[in-house]
Amino acid sequence: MNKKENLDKVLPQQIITLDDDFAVIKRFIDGEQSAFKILVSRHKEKVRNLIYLTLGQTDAIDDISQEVFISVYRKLHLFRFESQFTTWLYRITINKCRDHLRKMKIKSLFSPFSQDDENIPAPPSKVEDFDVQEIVKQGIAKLPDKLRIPLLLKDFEGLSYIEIAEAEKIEIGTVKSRIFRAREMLRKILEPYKKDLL
Amino acid sequence: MSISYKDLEKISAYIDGGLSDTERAYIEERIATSKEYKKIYDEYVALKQSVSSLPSLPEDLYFETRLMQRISEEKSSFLKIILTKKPVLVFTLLTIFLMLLLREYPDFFNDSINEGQKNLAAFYSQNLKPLVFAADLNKEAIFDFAFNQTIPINESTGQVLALGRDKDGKEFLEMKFSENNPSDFKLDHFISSLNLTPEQEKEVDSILLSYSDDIATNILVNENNALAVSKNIWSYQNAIRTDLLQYAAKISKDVSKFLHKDIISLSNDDKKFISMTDKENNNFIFITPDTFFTKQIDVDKKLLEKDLFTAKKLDKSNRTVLNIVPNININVKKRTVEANADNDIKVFVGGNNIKIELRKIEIPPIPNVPNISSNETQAVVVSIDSLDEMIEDAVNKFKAFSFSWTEKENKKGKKKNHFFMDSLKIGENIPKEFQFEFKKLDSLQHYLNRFFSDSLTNYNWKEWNENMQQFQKEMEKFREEMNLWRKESEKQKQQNKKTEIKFNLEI
Repeated sequence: MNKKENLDKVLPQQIITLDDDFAVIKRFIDGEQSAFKILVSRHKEKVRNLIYLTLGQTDAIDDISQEVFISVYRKLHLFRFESQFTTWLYRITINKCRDHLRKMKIKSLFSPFSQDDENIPAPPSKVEDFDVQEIVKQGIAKLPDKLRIPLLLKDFEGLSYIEIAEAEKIEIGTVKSRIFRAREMLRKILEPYKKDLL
Repeated sequence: MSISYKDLEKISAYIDGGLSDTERAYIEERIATSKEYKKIYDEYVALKQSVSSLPSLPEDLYFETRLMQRISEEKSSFLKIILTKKPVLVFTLLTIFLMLLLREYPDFFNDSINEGQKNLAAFYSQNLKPLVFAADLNKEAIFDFAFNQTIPINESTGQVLALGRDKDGKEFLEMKFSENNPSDFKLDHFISSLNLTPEQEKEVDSILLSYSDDIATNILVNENNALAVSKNIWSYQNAIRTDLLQYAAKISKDVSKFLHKDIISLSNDDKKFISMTDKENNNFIFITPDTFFTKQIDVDKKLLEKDLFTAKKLDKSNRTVLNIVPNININVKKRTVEANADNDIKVFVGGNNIKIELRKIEIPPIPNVPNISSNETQAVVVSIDSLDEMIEDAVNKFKAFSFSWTEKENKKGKKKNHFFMDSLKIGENIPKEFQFEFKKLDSLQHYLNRFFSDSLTNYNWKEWNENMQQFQKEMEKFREEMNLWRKESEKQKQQNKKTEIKFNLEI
């Protein structure tokens, strides 16, 4: 079955509303270049925020998010309509983040000082002296990549276990386990701030 | 009561709605009845809410504009690459084509070169005629050929072919312009020195002229400007010289009175040479305007003799009409060309001068049986020992390495080590204060993990260990093989000694 037949077969069941991603993608594949802007407009903030939380810093967000959408632009005609567009988009985003982290890790090996400069500040005596959300963000940044990304996809992006498994190309059981381990680790990291978080 | 790891995972999955009905009922019951379960549940819920309520980045209003501009730039740059890198693309495609071609047909180039060489050799070896068509071989010319090592190939240009053997006994072939050397040993001198009678002169003439046809059919030319010289020509040269000297010896017992010593000594060697020469050798050396090569050709001697007979019937002026003169005029810088196809000839090219040397054939030494000297065995033993030392040395070097770091306090006042990658030194010449000794690789790993504590390092370390184990196995195998070889060598050496003793006794 060719792509077009596949698309026609899938679309009637998949399209719930006219502004569904599949319909927009179909328009783009049919030659309507402006349809791509709709997809960007819909998902850019989710992508930017996912990159921000995954990397834990703001420097490379713009570059990476643009690279994500350029990849989408180049590969959209290969989209199979077998999973949600967002799952596919997040997979690209995660891969780009991982590439970036890998480069940063290699770079840090050759830099005179380790990159381990950011530490969670000691709990202050008064609650108003620090930002809880900043503490959580820094705690998330402390998690290993393989635990941080599933946790963010679940709790921040709101993806289901199945969608995370597809985006990460791992088993559902592994997703469940990694999210649990991420929470457990985060719980221990944020132990000193427990009273303020709960 | 402590909560099991499995139950903790179930609580986590419960808040995500990722449990089966049974599991969900179990966890709900536990949360409802156990304070500890409830505490963990509350903490997980709080964490989930904390993560989900993290603030988003401020919206980037110009994101689409910048993205679309970048996409359009990428599109045009792709087109630019196609247009500007066209030669590169062509080259790449050509390379891929050649790779595929060579994969399917690995001998393509060798075959093509061989085919080209064959075609060239075929072109230059066709329709060869005797040299007599180009130059009139009289008795003086044949005498010159025998004693002065030159033979005319073109009277009008004065080109001669010099061939003979040098002081080292190496045959050479040289094309050059004739030089009147007053020290040359001429036929007149030969006759006058021996005081030959007219009858004896005729006998000498007949000896010389009897070789005329042989020389003419062993130096061939054709209209393609090729000169083909049979390797037998040196044998004929020696044969003529020997015949004349033998005749001279008959006439005068003291031949050395009028002949130079060099000629006498050369002629003694010639006798042996002639007897060893295969006169049916059809291997010809080709000198052409393009190349030099040797080739086995089937010479139809009857046809050549017929050509010769026809030519001789004509007088000299008519022969000129049939002249086929090899007009070899190669203008190249003076250089030495090593002939690849035949490593037994050496070609010298300089202006219009071509010199070809046949190399002396080296007979390989016949090996003694068995041929293992004690020195060689010892050398191997030494290398085995030194190999051990080298390995140990290398391992020691790896054990002793250094790096430096600084202690830095964080905001909490906690001290942390900061590693300087460029300070890492392995091996010798490390200041003592920076030296560390690690007894085991594991302890080294422990130190490294302090600085590179991620899964990538661990993975690489595992791979390193596997590689080292593999290397160790290979070294053990090599060592076993070397020991076996050493034992066999010793055994062989003992046998040699026995053989030598027995041989001496027989003598």
